[in-house]
Amino acid sequence: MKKLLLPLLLLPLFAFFTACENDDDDNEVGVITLAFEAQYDGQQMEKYKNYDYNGFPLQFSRFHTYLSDVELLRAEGGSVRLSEIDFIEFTPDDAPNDVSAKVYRTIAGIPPGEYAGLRMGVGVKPSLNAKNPSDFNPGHPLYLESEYWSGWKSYIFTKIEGRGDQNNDGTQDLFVVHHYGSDPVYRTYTFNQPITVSASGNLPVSVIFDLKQIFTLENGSPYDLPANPQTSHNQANISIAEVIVENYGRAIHVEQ
Amino acid sequence: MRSLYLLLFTVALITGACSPDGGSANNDGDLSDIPYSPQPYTIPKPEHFPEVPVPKDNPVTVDGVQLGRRLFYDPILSADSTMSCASCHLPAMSFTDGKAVSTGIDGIAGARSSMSLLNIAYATNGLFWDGRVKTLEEQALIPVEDPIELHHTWPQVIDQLRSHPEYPALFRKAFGIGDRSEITKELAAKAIAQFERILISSGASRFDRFEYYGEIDALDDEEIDGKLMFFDEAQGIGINLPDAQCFHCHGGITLTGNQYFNNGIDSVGSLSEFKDPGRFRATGNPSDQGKFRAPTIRNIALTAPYMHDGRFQTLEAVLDRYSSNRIGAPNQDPLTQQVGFPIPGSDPVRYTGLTAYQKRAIVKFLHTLTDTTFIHNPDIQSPY
Repeated sequence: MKKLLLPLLLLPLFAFFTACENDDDDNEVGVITLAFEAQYDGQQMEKYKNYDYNGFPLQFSRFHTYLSDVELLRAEGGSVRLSEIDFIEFTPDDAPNDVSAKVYRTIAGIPPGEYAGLRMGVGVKPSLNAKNPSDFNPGHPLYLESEYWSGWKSYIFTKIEGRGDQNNDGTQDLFVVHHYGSDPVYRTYTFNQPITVSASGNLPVSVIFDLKQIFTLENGSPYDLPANPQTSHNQANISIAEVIVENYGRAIHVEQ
Repeated sequence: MRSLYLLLFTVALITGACSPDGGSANNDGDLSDIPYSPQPYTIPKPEHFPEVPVPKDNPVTVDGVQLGRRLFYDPILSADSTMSCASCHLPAMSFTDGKAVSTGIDGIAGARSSMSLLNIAYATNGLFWDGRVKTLEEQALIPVEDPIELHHTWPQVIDQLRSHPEYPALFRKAFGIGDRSEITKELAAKAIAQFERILISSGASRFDRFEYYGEIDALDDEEIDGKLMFFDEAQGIGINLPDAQCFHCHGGITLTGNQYFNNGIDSVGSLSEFKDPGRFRATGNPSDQGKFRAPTIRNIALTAPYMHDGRFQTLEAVLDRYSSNRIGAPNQDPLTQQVGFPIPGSDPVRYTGLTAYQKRAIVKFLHTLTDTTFIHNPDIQSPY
């Protein structure tokens, strides 16, 4: 009997630890990497490179944007937030060349599994846009004074700047300054793209912003940049920004 | 034997008497008897200013600021002991020197104008006009050995500091070193950086009083017009004043985003023709040729002449240049082409520039940014 006692005592312990292993599997945490990229017509965007835009050369010198509430969408409903606010700078001041930067964000602690898509707001969501740089600590994306416009009491959600040669006469004399901001032009977009997250990591999820598509209307025709090279600073007249932000849904592509 | 004890006692008395605090900085370099109890320095800043960035490895302390202030104003940092940091950064001129380009101890003129140190703690996107160093600690090391500035060497400076009657004790209090041999250029730079981080606006300029403290009488009508054009706020409230495009580069609380721009003041056919390569020197990126860091506009009326090479003597000359919408360079910032109202029917769209009244109003507004409380702050003046 004594010989049986030890195995009998160990059996529940074995069962307990086996069960614990299963629990560990359930509690496994995953890692996801988002790779943000700026393109023009499918090619990685380069500053000061001439692109064909409706028959004339167009080049870009600055492109960056805020994103709010970047979330993974569960197939069964619900979501997992990856970040509340982020500043994606495709043309940083310290770049060694003109190739736009690929901006990587790796987020750990994500439940592994298959997700149905990605959702994000382009711009600064209203609850955060009600604040200003003084409300944030150094290093926070919303601490940047260069991205806040006191005149509108709003962050500048997106900056796109460049110049073009609309007359094809060799002179880059079309000066494009598109800055979008204020709550009415904040938009949330959902991208239905299966995304796998596991503990060992997966292929990065590419989030591509295509500048050509940003300046292409829903009917496929190019936006009239020569007529509207600069966004209005009249807060009562944000018609240009309202048109452009509607293009984001088609201009942003999510892939894994 | 009794004579030997007497001799030792006498030596001890003498070295004790010669030490800075009547105590322990004796000739063998030991400083451990001097108390080291660092007290955090609360950097005074206006309520509407963002938190001051401070690196974790160089917290600002009372003794660190005191040491940094002494070093900043001490000509010991120059080879012939004639110039200090303050020679090119005078408080009365918002820590500039009033010259087009600065001149070092050998009388050699540099290529660039002295930059204001007002609110320099917020400049976390690179320092100098070209952003070639990232931190104040790195920056403080450079002028000492620059042959057209202080033209000294750090080993010699450190020797002078270690044998100085007062500095070893100050370094001990600031950084807790145990021996004067532990004084290094890195600690000296850290102290200077701590002092520079307290150079923050007082918040008492007329602009601050108007904008942030509700004193609507702090600006007159013309100054308000200037402000509306500077920040392009007029159209939104139904006033027919144009966009002067200033705030894009000189916006935010500190009136600079510390970003790099080619503002079109040099006309060149190709990027390689710039006399001063500017930001290119830091990044090696050819398209950064001729780009410079936008300086703060606070206290701008005290910091003439203007631009990286001091080419404009007056604010009026600066406004004339920007108002011209002139095309200067292939990488010129597009905003410098859009000053004024769009000209109806122009193709591509052209801009009117500013009228004489509009330029005058903006210049008057710029004068409201003057912060005399800051420049007279006793805590930032020379201790000598």
